[in-house]
Amino acid sequence: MTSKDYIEGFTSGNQKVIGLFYENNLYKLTTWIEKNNGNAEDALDIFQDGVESIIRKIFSQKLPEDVKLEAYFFTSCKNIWLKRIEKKSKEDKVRISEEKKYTLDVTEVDNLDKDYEDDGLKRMMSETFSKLTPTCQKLVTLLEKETKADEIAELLNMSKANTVYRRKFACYKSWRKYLEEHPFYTKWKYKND
Amino acid sequence: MVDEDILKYLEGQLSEADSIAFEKQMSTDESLAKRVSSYKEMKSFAESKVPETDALIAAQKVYQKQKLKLAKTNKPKNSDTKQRPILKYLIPIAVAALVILGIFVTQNNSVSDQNLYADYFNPEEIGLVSRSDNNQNLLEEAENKFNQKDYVSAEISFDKLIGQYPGQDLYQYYHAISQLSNGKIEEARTTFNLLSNKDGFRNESLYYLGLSYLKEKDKVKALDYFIKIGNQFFRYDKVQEIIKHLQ
Repeated sequence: MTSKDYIEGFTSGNQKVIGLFYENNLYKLTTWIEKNNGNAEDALDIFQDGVESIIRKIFSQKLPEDVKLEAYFFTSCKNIWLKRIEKKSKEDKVRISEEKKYTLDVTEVDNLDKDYEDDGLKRMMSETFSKLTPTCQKLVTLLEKETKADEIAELLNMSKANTVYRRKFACYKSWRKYLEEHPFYTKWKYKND
Repeated sequence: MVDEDILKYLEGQLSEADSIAFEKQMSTDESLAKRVSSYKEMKSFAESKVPETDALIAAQKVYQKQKLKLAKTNKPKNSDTKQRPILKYLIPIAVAALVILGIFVTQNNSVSDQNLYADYFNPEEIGLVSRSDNNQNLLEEAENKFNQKDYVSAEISFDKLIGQYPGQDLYQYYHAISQLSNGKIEEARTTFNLLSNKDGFRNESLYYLGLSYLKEKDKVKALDYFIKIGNQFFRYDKVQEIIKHLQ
């Protein structure tokens, strides 16, 4: 399989190709993670994080051109793992010294630039959407696709269809909140008034 | 009017009477009209994300299968069983490759000492942003600049990231690589020396420490670092090339 084959398989959601990617690469990552304070389960989780990250990059056209996918993927996973163990070690230290709760820093959205003006709305939607939890992102999208609530509940490990609707409103509400906090929102609102 | 009603209105789930009432209210309530407009955009954006979500769901299904497979093995699989058959073929190939490489290197001295640094300073492309990161913009900027080999801008971006996450070794590591490229050799070395004591960065840091001395054409010191690099390093073959050349 070439990088191109894999990318095509990822893009079309071809489980066979994704499965092959797993078969051909999971072992390598597991070996590395086991050498770096992790185990096979950690490796599997990181692998999946890496796969999702690649898929998102493909769709947002942020995957470097002519990328050697497997090498790129392996580096990405290594980075995700190193960040995770570092965060964990920080959290442990905080716990030990009984300091206050460890919180992640939140980066403020960067200033507007020229390109931003042109596709500001799209970018605002994309940036605020990415702030939603992965479950919320999948949920709202699946609902737009008119997937049945039972099916969504099963896919997203929710107890029942009712939960899907409850979560739907909560997700949209959070999204609206992020929109209203976004620097472009006022500009957009002004334009539309 | 609550958000739930707006969604119901947009999805045609309100009764005709409620729908008319809603529209009437919207015509006089500017803020409601704006919220409706936001929801329209959100729904349209979510719709555009359908193919991506399909791909993510497919990946998730594969992940679940792999998880089951792993659970069945009960214990994390020891890699040896899988590795041996591959190694059986790889070892002779690697030996042959080294012999050929040796011949090539001894016969072909076109790589001068001066070029060694330039030939081997070739950082791999990086992927830093993951789904759980909060600082995606800055991370993306750092990642892009680094991948475009714009190490001056990359150094600035990683500097900002370090300001936010002073303890994040990964950012220190890429910052130091950028510094090395930008000629800030001593600063880069300080970081690599610290990182060389940490899991996951040891071999990588030794490699760049070696390169930092190559950059200054100090072959003896460079060799000191290259020979300490373990064989699990992903560029171990390159390291062997350098060592052979330096020796």
